[in-house]
Amino acid sequence: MLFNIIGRSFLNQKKALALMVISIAVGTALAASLITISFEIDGKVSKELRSFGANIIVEPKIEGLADISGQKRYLRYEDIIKTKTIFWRHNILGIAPFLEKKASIKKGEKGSEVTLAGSWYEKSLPLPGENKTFPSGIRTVSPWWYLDGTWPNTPDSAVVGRSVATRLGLKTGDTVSIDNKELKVTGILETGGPEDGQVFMDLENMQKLYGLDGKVSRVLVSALTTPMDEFAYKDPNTMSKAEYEKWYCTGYVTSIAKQVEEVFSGSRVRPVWQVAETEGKVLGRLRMLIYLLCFAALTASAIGVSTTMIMTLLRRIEEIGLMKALGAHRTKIISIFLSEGMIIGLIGGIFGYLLSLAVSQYIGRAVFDTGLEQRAILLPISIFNALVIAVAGTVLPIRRALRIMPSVVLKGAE
Amino acid sequence: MRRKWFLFFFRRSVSQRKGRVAIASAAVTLAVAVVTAMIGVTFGIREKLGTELKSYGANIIVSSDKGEGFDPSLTDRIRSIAEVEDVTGQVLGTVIINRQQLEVIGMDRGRAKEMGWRLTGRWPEKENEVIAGISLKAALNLKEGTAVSVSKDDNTREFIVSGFIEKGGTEDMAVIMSLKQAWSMYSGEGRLHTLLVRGRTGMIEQAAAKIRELLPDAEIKTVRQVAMAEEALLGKIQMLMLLVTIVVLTATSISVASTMGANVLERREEIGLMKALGASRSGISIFYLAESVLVGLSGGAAGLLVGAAAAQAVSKGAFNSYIGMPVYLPFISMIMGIAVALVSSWFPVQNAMKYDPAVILRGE
Repeated sequence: MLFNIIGRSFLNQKKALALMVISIAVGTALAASLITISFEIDGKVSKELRSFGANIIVEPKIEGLADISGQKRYLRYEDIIKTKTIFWRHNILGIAPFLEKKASIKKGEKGSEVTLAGSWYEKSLPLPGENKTFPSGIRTVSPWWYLDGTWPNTPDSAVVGRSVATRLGLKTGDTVSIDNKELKVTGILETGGPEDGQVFMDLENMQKLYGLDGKVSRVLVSALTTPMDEFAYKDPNTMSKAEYEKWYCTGYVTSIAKQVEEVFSGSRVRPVWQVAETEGKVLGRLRMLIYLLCFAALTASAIGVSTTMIMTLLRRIEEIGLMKALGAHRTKIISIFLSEGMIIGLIGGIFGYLLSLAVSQYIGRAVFDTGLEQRAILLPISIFNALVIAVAGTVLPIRRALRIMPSVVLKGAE
Repeated sequence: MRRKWFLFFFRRSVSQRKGRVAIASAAVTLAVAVVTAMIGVTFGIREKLGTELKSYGANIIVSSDKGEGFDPSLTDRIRSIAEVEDVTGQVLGTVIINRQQLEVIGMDRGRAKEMGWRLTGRWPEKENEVIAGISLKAALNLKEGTAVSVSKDDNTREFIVSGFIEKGGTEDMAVIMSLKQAWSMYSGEGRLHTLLVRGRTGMIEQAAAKIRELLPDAEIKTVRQVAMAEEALLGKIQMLMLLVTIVVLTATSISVASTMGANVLERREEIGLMKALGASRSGISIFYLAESVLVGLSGGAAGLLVGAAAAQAVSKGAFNSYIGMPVYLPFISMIMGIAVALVSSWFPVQNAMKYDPAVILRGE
């Protein structure tokens, strides 16, 4: 009897049914997509924030004033790739080494002192003990550098910063004399930072040119980090053994810096605080923002879906009047409407889950350029959400329906 | 006469069906609230994130081309540019400490605090206190409270180091003085060498252009690192919010359409009766559409309030401060409320009018 009534009811109002299923599906799809997004928001936003540049800087240890004014110490070239062997190696997203030296630049009559720097723009380094390579170079730590031209690959070519180019009137293709060697300008570099006043060469070629084989003066590292919290600000030297262990194994910028220091001999590794702290703050704010938006969006869609259910069911008041007049018991009426609601919720939940697969992938690609990981756990969650929304939307009309007087309703007035 | 009847019917229709009108208004409220809140947050997030990113530093650097520096009053003129959020000036120079040439940065030290520089020790309080970059600590064997004699040409002064600053940049190897202290070391009193400007996010190029007009001879650079990263981040977040808004709006507009549609559908008999009594199609349309406008107005107004409150709650939760709402927001909300209500009842009304009054009134 119950199935008969429900079956009939579904057959006779396909349009209303479709509307309810659609609105529940959209509501649960939204919920599932938002959950998928909020699972990954930390990782994605952290990655985006890496475009702010290197957050760890490796320099030779300073032991006296002489080390500040004239550089005599260097880092070892072969240590660079060891950065990818530390505990948090998978969080290292970019490495760029620099060899720096004062040099005199001359073009015709005009000349000046500049910093000559050797680096890579893009280079795959073989990973030790693995059959893989790691993309490194300036591109991986400072994606905002704008190079008009190409990176110098030969020993007799260089790239000059925008300010240098303006001062000496240089263009791509010109030749310029650096420390009395003729170099061809292959591009003009623009960053808005101190690099605009420098001249760049290929790292290995510069090492050979100046007899500094195997030496670098500075390495910039870009690493995904856990935002600093109160614990992270404690001085590692005063930590207990257990605390130190915890600190060392959490991806704070300070603990990653410590681990990098361990693999670079004779180095002093510091976080770039400006970048690290901004990153932590922005990440915290954005995470909160996304969570709140998700919550607001869910509330809105739940209310919206319930309204739809209520309005659709209110149209069937006459039907309930008839049932009552024919002697249907309260429990019978409740079970009819509740089971209808649950069937609608079930179908809507399944459709909603399927829809969320598409929606979250689309949002992931549109916003972060990568897909989001799909989680099977969202299927039961979606169905549960849909059932809750559907049942919530049925309760009010049922209560209303139970109060009505059959005779009044059937007469046609309200 | 006709107007009188129209008003009579209209009042009756609304007052006798309060519940239905309320549900329809609630649905419109919801849709409007979602859009209002999203516009409010999207509008406010630029400013809020901009404040957070402030610690990242200047995005425009103005330096004097001929080396003679700027007058300090220039900072106020630059600050009055609409696209500029903040500006601060620095004095740059070198001094001799322990026979070594070191860089000096003279700046408003309150800014360093704001910019999230890390300090060990304490901020200078007395006139003769300075901060040193962290790298100088080991190099010069300094401690908090150490006195250093700083000289420039034949001008020598004693300063006390009150703390050490760590930024991860060239400042770590410099001596940080106040503007006054720096001016006391140099004869070029009262000049600033570099102006660090924070253009509002998204308007950095415009800000740079305006400064260029003001100072045609100065070298003006936009810091690509800061500018590009900010833009990229904001772009992503706003894109995310836009997409979420669209999805939520889909869910809520289904509910508006279904409630408004159900409202009209229920009243097919009424429409049939009106037709039978000789009402014109346009008369009936106007009657129902007027009702929709009422629903739209009340829903729009309520939606505006709810949405604005939601936007403020989100901002308070995420950024711990309230946001300013754009002035045009109330208009958008009201217009949207009315539009949503009209569109979602237009089709059902037209549909209902297709029926033959005789059939409807018989109860089919």
